[in-house]
Amino acid sequence: MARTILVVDDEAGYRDLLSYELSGEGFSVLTASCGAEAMAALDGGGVSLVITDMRMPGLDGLDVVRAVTERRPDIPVVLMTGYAVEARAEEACGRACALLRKPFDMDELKAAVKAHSR
Amino acid sequence: MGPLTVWINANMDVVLFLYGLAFFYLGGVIFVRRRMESALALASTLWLLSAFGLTHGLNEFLEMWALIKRPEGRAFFWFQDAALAVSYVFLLEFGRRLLLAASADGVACCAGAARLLGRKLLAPALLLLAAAAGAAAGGAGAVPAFIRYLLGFPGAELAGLCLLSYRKPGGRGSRMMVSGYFALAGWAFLVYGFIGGLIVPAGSFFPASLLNADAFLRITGLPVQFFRALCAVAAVWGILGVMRVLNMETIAALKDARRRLQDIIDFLPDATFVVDGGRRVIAWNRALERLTGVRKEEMLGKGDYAYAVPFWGERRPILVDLITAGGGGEAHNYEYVQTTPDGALQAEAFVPLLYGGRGAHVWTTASALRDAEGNVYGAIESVRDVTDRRRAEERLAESEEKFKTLTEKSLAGVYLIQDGLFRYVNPRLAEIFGYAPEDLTDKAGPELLVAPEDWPLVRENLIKRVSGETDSVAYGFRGRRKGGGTIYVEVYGSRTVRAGKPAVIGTLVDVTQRRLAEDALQESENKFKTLAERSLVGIFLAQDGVMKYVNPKMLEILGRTREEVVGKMRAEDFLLPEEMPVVGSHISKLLSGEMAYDLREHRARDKDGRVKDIEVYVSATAYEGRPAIIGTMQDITGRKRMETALREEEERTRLILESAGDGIIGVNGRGEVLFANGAAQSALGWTLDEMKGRKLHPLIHHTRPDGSRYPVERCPMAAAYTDSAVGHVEDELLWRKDGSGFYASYSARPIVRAGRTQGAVITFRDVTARKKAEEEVRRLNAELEERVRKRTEELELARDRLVQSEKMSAVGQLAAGVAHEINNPLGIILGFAQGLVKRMKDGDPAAMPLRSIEREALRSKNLVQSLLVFSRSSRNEQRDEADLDEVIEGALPLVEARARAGGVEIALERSPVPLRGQVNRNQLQQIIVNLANNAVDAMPRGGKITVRTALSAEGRAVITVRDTGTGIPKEIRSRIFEPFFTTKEAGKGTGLGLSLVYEIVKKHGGSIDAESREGEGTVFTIALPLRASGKAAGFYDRGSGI
Repeated sequence: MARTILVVDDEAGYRDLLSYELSGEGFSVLTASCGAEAMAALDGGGVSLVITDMRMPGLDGLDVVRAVTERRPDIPVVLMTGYAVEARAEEACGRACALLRKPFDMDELKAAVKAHSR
Repeated sequence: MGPLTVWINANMDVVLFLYGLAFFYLGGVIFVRRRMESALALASTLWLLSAFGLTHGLNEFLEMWALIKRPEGRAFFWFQDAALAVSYVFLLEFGRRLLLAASADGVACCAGAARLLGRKLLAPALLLLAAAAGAAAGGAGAVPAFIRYLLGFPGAELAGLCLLSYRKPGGRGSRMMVSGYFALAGWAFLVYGFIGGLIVPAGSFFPASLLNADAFLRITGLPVQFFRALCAVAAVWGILGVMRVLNMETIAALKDARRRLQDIIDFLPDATFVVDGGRRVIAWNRALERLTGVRKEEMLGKGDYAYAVPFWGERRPILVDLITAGGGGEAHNYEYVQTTPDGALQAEAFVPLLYGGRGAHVWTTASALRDAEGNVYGAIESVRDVTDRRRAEERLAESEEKFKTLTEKSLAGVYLIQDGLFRYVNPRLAEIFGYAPEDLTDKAGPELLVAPEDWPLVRENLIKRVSGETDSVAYGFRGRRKGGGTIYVEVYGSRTVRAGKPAVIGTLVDVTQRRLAEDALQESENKFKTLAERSLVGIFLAQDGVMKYVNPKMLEILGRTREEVVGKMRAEDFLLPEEMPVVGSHISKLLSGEMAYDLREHRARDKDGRVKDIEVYVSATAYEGRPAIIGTMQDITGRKRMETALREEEERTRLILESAGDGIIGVNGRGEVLFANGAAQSALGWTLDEMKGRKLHPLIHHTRPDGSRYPVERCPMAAAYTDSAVGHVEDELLWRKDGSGFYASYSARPIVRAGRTQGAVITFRDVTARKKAEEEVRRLNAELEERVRKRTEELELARDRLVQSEKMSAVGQLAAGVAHEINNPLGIILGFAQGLVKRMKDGDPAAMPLRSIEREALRSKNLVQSLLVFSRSSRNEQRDEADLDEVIEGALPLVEARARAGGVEIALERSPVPLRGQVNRNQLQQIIVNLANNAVDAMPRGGKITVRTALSAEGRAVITVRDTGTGIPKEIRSRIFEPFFTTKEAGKGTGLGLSLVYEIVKKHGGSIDAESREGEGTVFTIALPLRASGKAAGFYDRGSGI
């Protein structure tokens, strides 16, 4: 399953972390540091899952989710958020596949990815 | 000839004597019998014959004397000749008159001859002629001859012819007996005429020279006088015979007449009786028998007032006796007695004895019977039953009376005009013109009463009727009153006949009033028309559902032209359909008289479709004899709008007044209540009707609080309407209807209009509650001051808490910010650490430091989580309606595991009253969890936690969490709610539990309190308002048991 996951986060640490862990699981990982890059990456094609942070400057996670559901409804999205209660996040999660609260266990992440990459 | 002739010649004196005697005798007999009654006119001529006879007899006697005595004197002969002349004048006159009488008696004679000889002066004329002729012919001695020619001859012939003609059939004298005598006399006179009239003594003139007595003697041997004598005797015989027969006839006729009279009397319709001079009944007719019941035979010949018995029951003088008494006598029992011009008496009476007792009204007349000399030889009385006539007369009189009354009392003038004068006017007619009837009757004519300008017309009409051209006519003209005033009259007159001559009869009515009324009506109509046409209100008249008359304003309202409306427009063409049922029912009520009038508003639509409001005022009337509807209409659309606006305005005002919480009373200038709103009524216990018109001060403001009377002069309310003073009183005692009083604060303000104070408005408010509240406050203040001391340290505690809460709020915010920032790096660190740790093989020297990194990162994460939880409360404010007990109960399972592990029992005592309120479930549960955890920590050797909920008196939920733990030392009790303050060793607790609890409670607007005794336990008491008020409740609470 050489799947491509797009990771969108303005925090370099998270980009690295996720790349490291997910590559270890056998996925190929694309990263974007903001919403615009994420769009470009999407348009590039080949993405089978998107993991995006909520809070980013410019186009935020919700915008990403919206864009994905518009352009590529077949691609599942996982939202990450550092905020405990995020009404918008929960609303967005209605469309996305999963919501992860930071900080989360890697096991949690991997479980979510496995669940939504079918 | 012979011896007789000789004798005759020798005795001529005897002959002449007989001759003279005969005529003289005739004359005498006639003279004596001159009153002989005869129907013949002949009889009236006989006196002439008598005159002739006497004078001619004298003449012959004289001739006889002359023969015997042979007188010498001329006077004798003159006298003899004069007698002859006179006698022949009489003869001629007799002849002439006989001719006239004969024609009068119907005997056929020459009418022409009668006319010719009818001249009265014939005889004297002939006499003169004879005299003249004789004188001319032969002197005085010839005159007698001419007298014989011109008088004797014609007279005798006339007499003879006429007498003869009496005997002819057809004449009156043609009865057999008499005719012979008439013939004898007639022939005698004829012959006599010749021999007496033509045979004259010899004379020298013609014809006497030839035809004379001498010649006669020679021829006949006898003197002419002899034959004359014979004629005379014959004539006399004849005449006397006629007379006798006539006399006999007269007597027979008299007898006949008498018998006829008897018969006549007997069969007269009137009851009649006759008495003779001795008052004996000589006639009693059948009618009288019927009337009286007394038969003729009983009465005839009876005297001594026997005829009175059948009438009056006794013998006494009656009407007829007044006649025979010559005017004297009594007249009792008669209604009246009157004398007629010819001497008869008339009377009337009611005689009860007649008709066998039935009685009868009778009219009776009595007259005298006179003979030819005028002597009364008897009397005749007639009695006529006039009962019917009397009754008829009475009826007539009644009817006349009625008619007269009608006419006399009629309110119409009645008149009769004949020959240009009023013959009759009734009082009314005279009155109409200002006269008295007697001024007009027979004195004035119609011209007097007619205005000069109308007289020609009236005169013409009268003429037409009198002439018969028109029979009756009715017309009007101007009349003229006495004094000159003009009136209008109408007459209805017709032609009639009165006393045989045409007249005009009629009735007259004074129509001045009517004319004036008509004129006034016309003027009024014009006025009305002008008014109606110019009215600014629409006026209309409708009949049979259709408009008959509309004035111009109506057309304006209807928005139509006259042609479209009159005779065409119906109500439904104008009014909106929903109006029609009501309109229809009202119209029929008006027409039937059930309603007199109707004033109503309607909605209507004009021709352009615009809807209008109209006000219509209708009533029923009659027009041209049939029912109609008349009314006025006004366009009130504008007015209605204003009214609606006004009404709404009023309603708003009223609502404002009524809704006002303060009592509002309006009074007039005398202090009498005009108005009171609902609040005033309910506050004072009086209804508006009970208050209206009564003076306000004695009603509600009569007594001061101390019981003394409150005079109105001092009352500020009164001052408002008397002095225009504005007043306000804070605490005034007002009195209710039921006598109880209450405190109110009131304002009194005057109502000023056009500079004058017309009353006042008093507004008041019941301040009882406020006063009570003030009382309460005072009482509470006292208590408060008492408690101030007690609560000093709690105040300090609260102040500390306040400071702490501020701190904590700041800390909370800081914590949130830090936590969020740290989260990300932490997550990365942790992530990588975990990842590496997983990849570690056992024995790797980096394993221990990596595990340590992982462990500490995890610890950091937990710390940050707690921080976030702590700060979360400041952001998640959402509260829901919930049952607090349920929420609390839901929190307990979260603690159960730890509690059981620590040997702690948890008990929940629910509130008896359901506690429903606005809470944040999570936060509430957090409270419970934190407190419970603390409690568990406080009981290391186990114990009991009791959670109790209740509703406080102020409506707050009170939650108590009690443990049986070690308690909180006094010195730290004030710090327990500080963030990060913990009694646990480092790493065991965050120190944020209670501060979180504190935050949550504060956010809910509640309060939290802790009580503790060392070694016994701790009680946390939380009071939460069930309704969020948005601000914190007072920190000042009275400890447990709120």
